[in-house]
Order: sequence, then structure tokens, then C-alpha cells
Amino acid sequence: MPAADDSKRKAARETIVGLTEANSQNNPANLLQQDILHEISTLLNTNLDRQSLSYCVSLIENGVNPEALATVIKELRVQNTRYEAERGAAATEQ
Amino acid sequence: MKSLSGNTRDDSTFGGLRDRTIKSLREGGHGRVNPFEIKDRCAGLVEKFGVLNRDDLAGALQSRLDSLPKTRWNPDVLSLLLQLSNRPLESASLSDLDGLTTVFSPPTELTWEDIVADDPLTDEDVWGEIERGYHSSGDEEAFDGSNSEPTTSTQATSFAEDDFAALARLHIVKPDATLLGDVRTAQETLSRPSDNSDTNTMSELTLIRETISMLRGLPTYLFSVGTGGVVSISSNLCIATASKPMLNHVLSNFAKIGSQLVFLRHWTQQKRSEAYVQSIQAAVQYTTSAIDLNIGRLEQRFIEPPDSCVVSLIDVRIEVEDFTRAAIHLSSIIVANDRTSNGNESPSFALLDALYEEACIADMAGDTHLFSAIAGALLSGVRTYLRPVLLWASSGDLPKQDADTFFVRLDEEDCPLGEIWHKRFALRLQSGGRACAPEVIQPFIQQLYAAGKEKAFLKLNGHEADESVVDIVSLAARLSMATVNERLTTNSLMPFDELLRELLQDCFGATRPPDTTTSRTVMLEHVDLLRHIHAFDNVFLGNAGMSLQAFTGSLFGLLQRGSSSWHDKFFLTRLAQSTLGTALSVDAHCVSVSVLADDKPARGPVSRQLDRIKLAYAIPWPVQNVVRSEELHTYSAAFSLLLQIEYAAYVLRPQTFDLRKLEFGWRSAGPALQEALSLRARLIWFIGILRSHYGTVITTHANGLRRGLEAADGIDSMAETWATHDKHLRLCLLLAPNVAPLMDAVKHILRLSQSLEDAWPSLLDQSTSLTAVTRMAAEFDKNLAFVTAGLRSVSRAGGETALEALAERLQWNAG
Repeated sequence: MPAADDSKRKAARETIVGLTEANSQNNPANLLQQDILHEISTLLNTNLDRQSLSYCVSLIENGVNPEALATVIKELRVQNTRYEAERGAAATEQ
Repeated sequence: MKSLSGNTRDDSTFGGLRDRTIKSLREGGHGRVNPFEIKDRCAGLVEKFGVLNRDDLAGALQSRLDSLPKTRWNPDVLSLLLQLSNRPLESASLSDLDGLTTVFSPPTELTWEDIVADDPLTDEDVWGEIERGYHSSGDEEAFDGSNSEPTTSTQATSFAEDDFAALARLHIVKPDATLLGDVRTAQETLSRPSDNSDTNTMSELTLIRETISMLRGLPTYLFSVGTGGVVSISSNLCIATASKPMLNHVLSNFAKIGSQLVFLRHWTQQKRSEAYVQSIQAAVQYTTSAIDLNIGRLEQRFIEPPDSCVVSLIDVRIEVEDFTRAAIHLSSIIVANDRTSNGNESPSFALLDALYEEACIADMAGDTHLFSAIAGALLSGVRTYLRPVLLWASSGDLPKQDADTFFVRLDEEDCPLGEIWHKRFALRLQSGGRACAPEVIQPFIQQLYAAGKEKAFLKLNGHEADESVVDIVSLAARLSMATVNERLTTNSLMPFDELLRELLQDCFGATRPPDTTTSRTVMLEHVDLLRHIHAFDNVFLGNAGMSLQAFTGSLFGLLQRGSSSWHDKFFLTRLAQSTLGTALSVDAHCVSVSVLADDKPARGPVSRQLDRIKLAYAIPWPVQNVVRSEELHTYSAAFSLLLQIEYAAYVLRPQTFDLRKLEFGWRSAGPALQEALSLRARLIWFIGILRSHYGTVITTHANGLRRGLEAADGIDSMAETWATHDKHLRLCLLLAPNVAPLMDAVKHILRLSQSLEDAWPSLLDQSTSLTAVTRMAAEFDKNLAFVTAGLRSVSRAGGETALEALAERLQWNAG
């Protein structure tokens, strides 16, 4: 039942994201924590913006392994670099 | 995914990328994050920053790590960040943090659009006319304020307000009358008259309330105050928690304490004339005030009880006995003192003595609380008593107040100046010969008496005591419990009586600073006592031989010529001033001569005439205080003796020349003349020994007197030295009454010179018989033997070596 699974998955994801957003955005303690984590992230030169960092924190709070997440982020950055390079080459040819 | 990869949902690769991402996230094989390892890695990173000279990054990172709120996901998030860190040493800087601060946005202001959107102005009444007179102060309808509460601002600032009750209502807190309901009920029960058979059962709290009121001295229903301030239990009561005998015992204990407190309170209110008693009353009042404070604290405990407060009469009794112990002891001391002094008219310091004794006992017993109370009362009384004492010791002035109980009294106010020191003041003695002063002052009585006399003497002598005024109040204030405690801190084993004696000694010593002028200084330096003593020796005792010879030569010549002017005192005074007055240290104008009246005719034996001549010296009044007399009787008598000796030598001298005029030579002289010559030789020998004895005695005694006067510390010592000298001089010169027979014998021998001189012309022409001369010689021998024997016995009895020596010399050469 892929459709039912998809809808269920979608609803669950929205709920989780909504809850995370609500918790991360409205709770003052969380806001403070996010600020401090963002500052640490800046000091460590991780190149994560605030939004991305908050998504990462949410994923970790939902059980994602941080090592796996770090690996995924690195791969996605590589993909981004390749994508940017291809777009740049295509723009030059035109 | 969009922010990291840049792909959007529209991209063809988005789906594959998403699946790969999800698959990677779901993959296992990754170990759990070790929080300790993450903590160590963070600490190592901070240390690395510090070592590589990036202290700014190290401090910033450490501060963020410390302030990070602790959650269970912190290690995981930090692990992610550590894995994603990309050369922070080279790339990161603190300025990047500044871009992270969010700008404060003020809250949005409320606008009319928001108000109108919320509540549109569609109501018809909104645009209607308003009643403008609603808040006007000129409105004719009076404002009815009877139902409204008065305001403080209006009422309190009105000056001409008649309703003071309303004003007071604003400031007075009305107590809740119902709170005293239980108390009133209990009091009504107590006030009901009860028979012996009828006992009222009261609560313990009621009894405690009554007891506390009684201890404060207030009238109560439970206790009654009888004559003499004796408190007794007046109601027949019992309580549910104790038996009647026990309750009566406890209440009677309270009654005893109350009686003594009542006595103390009455005693402190009594009018007493003695200043030191008033001070003790003040000290005792302080003690009773402290008791009242303690009773107040005790009462407070029952008015505002803490969470667990036990109402117990026994506890109250233990507390009350503890803080009233000192006051009860004081009360017993005062009661005992009042009992012994009732009917006793003589001034007494029994209260001070009793306090002193009890303070010493309390100190020995180590009871510091009791000691503090008793010693405090004692010292307050002693401080007040000391003020007139210090005034006396520092200025010689007697106090005007309490003069009847002061230990010094004015004995002879109008006594002559020469007796000021010995007769003006005297010690006031009680029965038993003890000075009228408290026990603590007794060891210092003589010292204080002499000090005050000295100051009075110096004032009369023109030496105002001390340029530096002694502050009596501050000196007396040194005797305080603070000073006692300070001394006990440094020397805790010192007994209180010794400590007090030390404090008093310091206090009295401060009245005589080291540079004070003393009577000794004044007598020796200003009055020049030793010069006057030297003058006495020169005038009376023949120390100035030339002056004496000049005087006696003129005088004897007048006497032998039979001149009538010799008994003219003015002439003799002029003669004495011109001869004796020229000696060293002598003030000529002080010398005077008088002649005593005599019934016998003026022309009698010269030796008898000489006895009528009296030499006097005007002694300054300060010196009179030392010699204790206006005249020097011993010295005058010594001068008379000296005149006799000199006259005897004077009449025997010229006869030497007469021998040369003999035509037949003295070898062929008759037996009478030869006997006369022998008698003359013996008389000359006797006179020589007398002169030698006279000179030796005077010189020896004069030196001793001078040394004694220089070593004396005051006028009393000087007077004592002079009296001793005078007594010895009288004895050695045979002027004392007990040796008058010896003096008569000596004078009889000396008069033999006159007899020999009278018979000399007839001896020369050999008309005098041998019998007459032999009789004279026999008298000489008889008197000499008598004098010698008398001198021996007197010297053995009195121990005078000078008389022993004189007797020896007379005996050696007489044979």
C-alpha cells in the first residue's frame, strides 16, 4: 500500500517537522540553545547556516546518527559543488 | 537538501539524491556517541586553540560550551559539528559571530487602524454630545461625601479641620477587642472572692500572666503586696497540671523574688543625701531595668509564641531565678545594711564596705555575672565618693557637699600660719580610731591626707598647685567595669581587691604628676630652710665666733661698768643686730633681744643678770611649721648657757696680766693666792672642756640635722627630724628638765669664776684668808664630782655618747 504508506509518512513527517519547528522556534530555551549552537558552528567553520543547523538538530533529536548525518552532509556538498560546476560550464558554453 | 545540494524538487536528480540520503541516514553500523569522548575532544580543541595562539577562539568556544543548556542531545550535536568542522584555526574569527546577532525589533505600536478594525465606530452614541459639566468644579450640585471614605490627602492637609476624631481614625489602628476575652474571663475568676474551701482552677498561662505582672511591680489578683513590700499569695488556686503543694511552693518562690524586687524598686526611689548612695541607687536601677527587659522578652514569647512554645510555670521560674539572681543578692546586701545602720547616727560607709566584701567573694567564687552586678554598683559608688577625695588631693580644698562625712575636717580655721600644717586640718575619726572612709580607701588615707595638706600649704605659700589642671571627673571615671575587665583580660588571676587597689593607686598617683611642686621643694629651695637653720646656729649657738665675741665683749663691758643701758632691749637689739646679725645667712632685722623683768635690784651678780637676757629670732611662718614653735626655746637656753661660759672665761682672763704686777713675784705669794691660782687654773680647764663639749655637740648635731632635712620627703618628716634633733641637743647640752640639777651644778662652778674675780683684789694684797679660797675650791670639787657622776648615769640611761665622753674627760683631768 504505497499510497497509504506515503500519506502516513507524509503526515508523520509534517507532524514531526511542525512539532520541531514549534519547539525550536517558540521555546526560549531552545532559541538560546540554537543561538549558542549556531555560534559554535560558526567558530568551528562548519558552513552550516541557522536553518540547516536547526534541521540537523531536529534530525538528531529524532534518532538520526550524527556520524551518518555528517557523511550525508558531506556528500550533498560534493554533489552541490559538482552541480555548480556543471551549471557554470553550461552557462559558459552558451 | 535544498540548502546543501542546491537541488530543488523540480530537478531530475532530486529524487535519487533524496533516496540515497534517506538510505544513508538509515544505515546502521555507526556506533553510539560517547559523551565523554566528545567532552574530551572539545577540551582538546580549546587547548589546541590556546597552544596555537588563538586565545580568542579558545575563550569564545569555551564560554559557549559552558553556557550551552544541558540537553541529552548535546553530545550528538557537538559530534556532528566536530565532524563538519573545516580548519577553524585558519578560517574562523570572532568577527563572524557579530553577524549572528539578531536586531531587536520593537513591538508594533497600536494604531487607530487596529482599534477601528477591532471595534469600528459605527455606534450612534459615539458621536453624541457629552455632558461637559460632569467633572466641573463649578457644578452647583454639592458633592455628597458622606458615603465616601475620607482621603488622606484631603483630610490630613486641612489645617482648620475641626473633626480631630476623623483625623485620628486615619492613624490609629483599632485593636481587636475580642482578643482579650480570655484574659478578662480569667481576671473575673481571680477577682471573685474565694473561701478556703473554694479553689479556682486556672490555666497555667493565667498564672504566668499574673506572675509576670507581679514581677513588673504591677497590682495583680493573685499576689498582694503587704507592709514593707512583702509579696504574698492572695488567692486559693490550683491548676490541672500540678498538685496544690507544688503550685504553692512555686508561687511562694515567685513571691519571695517579687518582694525583693519591690524592695529594690522602693529603695532606688528613696531620697538619700549622700552622693555615693545616689550613684549606687542609679546602678541598682540599671539592674532592675535590665530585669524589666528580660521580663518583657519572656512575656513576648507568650504573646507571639513561636511554632512550638511550651507554657510551663517551672520554666518561667527557672528563667526568672536566673536573671534576677544578681538583683536578689544586691537586695539582700542593701536590706542587711539598712538593718544595721538604723538608728546609727555616726556617718558610715557600711553599704560600700558590704558591696566591696561581696564583690571580692563573688570574684573568688568565679561567679562572673554576680560579680559584674555587685562590682558595677560598688564602682559607681566609689567613683562618686572619689571626686571630693581627688579634689582634696589635687587642690587642698575641702568639699562643700557631704563635708560631715569626709575623712578630713577643718580643725582650727584661724590657727596661726606657723601651725597651718599641723593644726588646721585633722583626720575625722570614727569610734575605734578608724578614719571616716570606706574600706577600699583606708590604705591610702595618710597618703591622701598629706597630699591635700601639701596642696593647701603650697597655696598659702604662693605656689598655686600645678600648671596642669587635674581632670577629676575623668580620673574618677577610670574606675569602671570596662577597666576592670580589661585588667582581668591581661591578668585573670589577680584578685579583685588587689586590682582595685592598683587602680586607686594609679588614680591617686595621677593627682601628682612628676613635675609637681612639692612641699619639700618649696621648703628647701624657695623658703631656704637650710639657710635659716644655719642662721640659728650662727645666732644662738656661737658658730660665728667673731660675731659672738663682738657681742659678748660689748655686753660684758656694759655689765661690768654697771651701765644702766644694758637692760634696754632696744639698745641690746641694736647691739645684737650689728654683731650677731652680720654673720652668714643671718637676717639682721630678725634678731631681737629682750630682758626679763626681775624683782631683784639691777645691780646683782652679773651671772644672774645674764640669765635675764633673752635672744630671739623672727622665724618665717613656713619654717615655724617645721620647728613647731615661734621661738626656739632650746636654742635660747643654749645661748644663755653660752653667755655664762663666755662670761666666766671673760672674767678669768685679765688676771693673767695682774700677776706681772706683783712686786714680790708669785713664787713668794701666800698660800691663799696660790690656792686661788690653782682654783683659777682648774676653772679655766673646766671652761675649756665645756666649750669643747659645746662645740662638738653643736657641730655633730647640726650636720645630722642638715642631712635629715635634705633627706626628708615632706614637712612631716622635716618636723620629726627637727624634734629629734631638738631633744638630743637639749639632753647633750644639759638643758633638759631631767638633768636640771646637773645644769645647776655647772652654773655654780661657772659662778665661782665671778666669786674668784670679786675676791682677786683682796687676794693680791693678801687680805683674803685661805679658808675662803679653800671653801671655793671645795665647792668646785664637790660640784665637779656631782656633775661627773650625774653625767655617767645619764649617759648610761640615755645612751648619749657625748655625755659619756664629757664625763670621761672631766674624770681624767680632775684627778
